[in-house]
Parts: sequence; C-alpha cells; structure tokens
Amino acid sequence: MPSTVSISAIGLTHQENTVLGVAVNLLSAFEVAVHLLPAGDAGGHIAVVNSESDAGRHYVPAPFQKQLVLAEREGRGDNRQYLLKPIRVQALKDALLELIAAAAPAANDRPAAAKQARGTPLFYSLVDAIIEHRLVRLKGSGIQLMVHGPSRSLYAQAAVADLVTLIEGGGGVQADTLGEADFMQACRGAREVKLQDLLWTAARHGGVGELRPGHSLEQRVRLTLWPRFAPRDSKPEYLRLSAALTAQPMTLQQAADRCAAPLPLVLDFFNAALALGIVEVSAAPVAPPPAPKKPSGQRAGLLAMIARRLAFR
Amino acid sequence: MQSLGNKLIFAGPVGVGKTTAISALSEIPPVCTDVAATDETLARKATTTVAMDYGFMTLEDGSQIHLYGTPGQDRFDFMWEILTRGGLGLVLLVDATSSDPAADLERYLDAFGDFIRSAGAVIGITRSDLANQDVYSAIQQRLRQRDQPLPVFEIDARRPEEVRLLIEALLAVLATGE
Ligand SMILES: Nc1nc2c(ncn2[C@@H]2O[C@H](COP(=O)(O)OP(=O)(O)O)[C@@H](O)[C@H]2O)c(=O)[nH]1
Ligand SMILES: [Mg+2]
Repeated sequence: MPSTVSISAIGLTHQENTVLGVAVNLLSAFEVAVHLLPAGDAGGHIAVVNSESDAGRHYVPAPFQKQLVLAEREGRGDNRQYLLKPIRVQALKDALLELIAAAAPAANDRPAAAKQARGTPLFYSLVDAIIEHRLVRLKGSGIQLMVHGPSRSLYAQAAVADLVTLIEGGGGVQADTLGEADFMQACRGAREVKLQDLLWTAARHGGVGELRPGHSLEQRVRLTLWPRFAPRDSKPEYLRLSAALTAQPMTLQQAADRCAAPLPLVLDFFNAALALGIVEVSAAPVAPPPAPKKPSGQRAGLLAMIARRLAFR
Repeated sequence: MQSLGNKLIFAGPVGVGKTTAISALSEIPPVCTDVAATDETLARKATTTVAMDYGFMTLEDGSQIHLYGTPGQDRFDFMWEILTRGGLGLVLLVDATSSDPAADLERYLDAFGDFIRSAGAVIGITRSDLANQDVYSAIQQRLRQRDQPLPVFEIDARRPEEVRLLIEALLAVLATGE
C-alpha cells in the first residue's frame, strides 16, 4: 500500500476545490494518509474530475488512476465513480474513502517497468563511481545515467520522475567507465539531474549494506550537513541517523545502537553520505566518546506522541 | 530542566508559506489570534499583543501541540525571542524566490539563536518551483560555513506530506538533545 494516497483535481470550480480541500482535511484528521496535489499535477492515485469543464471533458486518466467524476447526471465506466453536483463535503469524503480503499493496493503496482534484475544494483554502481571519482555510464533496465564522479554530477535524457519510476522497478545496471571525450559525447542532449533526487530512491531499491573498502566500523564519523530526501524515500532511521551524526561523531556501530537501526541500513546510509561528500571521518578514539545525551523519558514520550499523531511510519 | 514545551513555532518572511504549512498540520483552519507578549526589559510597554497564525494538533493523551506562525514583519522582530517561550522547536521557512535567501536565513538564525541552541530547528525552503536559482546549495553552503548542520528540505508548503517530513526531521533533532 502506498504510504499516502495522492489526489489530483482536474478542472474543478473554485467552490468544488474548496469542498475537496475540506474533505481531504477531514480524511487526514481521521488518519487516512491522503494528500491533495497542487493544481496542474495530474499524477495522483485518484483524479477528481469536473466533467462539466473543458479540462475535465478532455481528461485522459493515467493507467491505474481511479477517477471520481463530478457530473450533473449519473454515468458509468471502469475505474470511475460518479458524484452528482452540487458537491457536498460529506458525500465527497465518503466517495474518496471508497476509492482510497480500492486505489491503495493497485497504486502500489508500478506501471510494469522493466524488471530484469541484471547487472549491479544502481545504488552500488552510483556510489562506486562517485567515491572513485570516475566518469561512468550506467545503463540497463531502461535507465541511462551519466555519472561525473569528480563533481558528483549526474546527466540523463529522461526526466527525474521517469528515472525514479525506473529505479523503483529495481533492475540492475551495467557500469562502463569512460574517458573524458567519450563521456562528453554520451552526455550530449542530456540534462543535469541532482544526485540527491535519485540517490535515496536508489538506496531504497538497491541497498547492499556493505562497508566500502578503506572504511571500518571502528572509525568515528560525523555528518557535516543533513542529507535531504523526498518523503517517499524517507525512513525514520535516516532521520534519526542524520540527527545523531550531525550532533556528534560516533562509530557506525554506535550510531546503529543509538538510532535503533539495523547495521546494513546504517551502512547504506553512510555510503550515500560518502557519495554526497558530507562525511568527516576520524580515527578510532583512544577513549570511548562521551555517552550521547538522551532526552528525558517524558520528553521522548511527547516527541513519540507527536510523531504518531502525524501518522509517521 | 524547563517544563516541556508544547508549541511549534513557524517563522519566516511574509508569503513564505507559514499559514499554509500550519494548515497542513492543524485540525482547524489556521486562525489569526492575538498573543500577549510580555517583556519586562521593554520600558516602553509592558505587554503588547501580536497577531499570530494559530492552529493545533491533538495528541492521543488529549493534550495539544500548538502551532504558531510568527508575524514576518520586521517591526515585530523584537518579539520573536519572547514568542518562543514554551516552544518545543522552530520551523524556519525560507522563500526560494527571495533575492538573497541565504541572507534571509541568517537573519532568522541569528534572531532565534538562543532558541535554536536550547531547542532545535529545521529549515524548509519553499517556492523552489518558482525559483531559478539553486537555493538549496546556497543554504547548505552557508550552514557549512556556520558549522550549523540543521536539517534542510525543499518543500512545497501546499503538500502536507512534505510539511510532515519537515516536522519529522525536527522531532529527530529534538530527540538527540535536551
Ligand atoms: N508555488 C508555490 N507556492 C507556495 C509554496 N508554498 C506556499 N505557497 C503559496 O504561497 C502563498 C503564501 O503562503 P502563506 O502561507 O500565506 O505565507 P505566509 O505569509 O508565510 O503565511 C500561498 O498562496 C501558498 O499557497 C510553494 O512551495 N510553491
Ligand atoms: Mg500568513
């Protein structure tokens, strides 16, 4: 099930938009993980379509998208449900709830992206290329990504959203190290893609949980900056690790213990941070570092309650 | 130790998305409320009221987390520190379309310096969809110079899941310290 069901509004009147906003807020208040996409974003799991508008009449739903059609009279259709105008909050909320129940499992089935698990996981090859300062072409599973290791820059023909979908397909890639000239040639017509926009998706779908050569579990590490990730790639452990490792240096094992994170996940996080260039490594300390400050039980309880209230995973 | 704070403070310039972010979390549409801000050190007036955005979330034990949006106008600068009393943490929003977002950020980091040190903060860069500059990198560079590694996320305040991620990061920061 997707953690959040997204809703697109297509051609709604001002009034209908307001009603939709309230209905979505109500659903959220009842802990239904749902959110309204900004105007113009038609990529939601559910599209609420005003059939009396131009945008609504001409709207072609994406595959797997469920439609809720706002209309003057009843209609029929696969994957769509009708709601008679004028639209009321309660009725809209109930119709959405029904669709969410139906949309949730299907929305998780990504449009059949090439699912051959050939080659190495993208995450591994990506981190490798950057850490080793190589110029690399990653290719496979529908992905073509040019990695300029020394500058941590990525180039691709495809849009970020498409690359994310392909990476979520979980396929492997072949990595070819190129010379400067071949690399430039292969980058023609490609646009720069931000490393952070793909790195965490790659980690989520191809983490390997290995320590890189030259690093040890005894060394102390500190993050000089917080990484950033999209909500879909975020994990509570990533947030805890980021907070702990920016606050003070510690070994990866200490970080795992302190953040209640499995060591392989910590190592993937660390490898991603290495690729981002936000890690400071120092040798093992002679004496163990001071015990990290722990929040009081009462305070930890409050923070946990807020987290649960926000329906965090 | 002070008593537990139960306020989340949203700060940032006018139009950055404070009201929108609060409404993403609040159980009521944000309302404008007058808050009494008392400061004994201000000779001119013992108590002043400031209009702030207000919303709340109810927790499972029935208690509430109050969400306050500070007024962005400079004339209220002197109140910021006062308004953070009883604050749990700070959500600092930076407008990517501003002429110098990193300078905006520093102004707020300095103004809320004591609060950030004693509590914690998270930075949300909003309106990146409308900006044609790499504000994220500029902000991170500035934080690196200040050796102040706060969480930074590009968010659209109109997307509740992005606002929630910001708060989740803030909670992680608050859990590491006192
Ligand atoms: N395009 C865009 N608009 C945004 C974003 N965040 C907020 N807004 C809009 O910016 C406007 C000002 O937001 P508001 O919450 O009133 O700002 P405040 O003055 O800080 O309270 C509203 O119309 C929001 O919908 C964003 O990331 N992108
Ligand atoms: Mg406002």
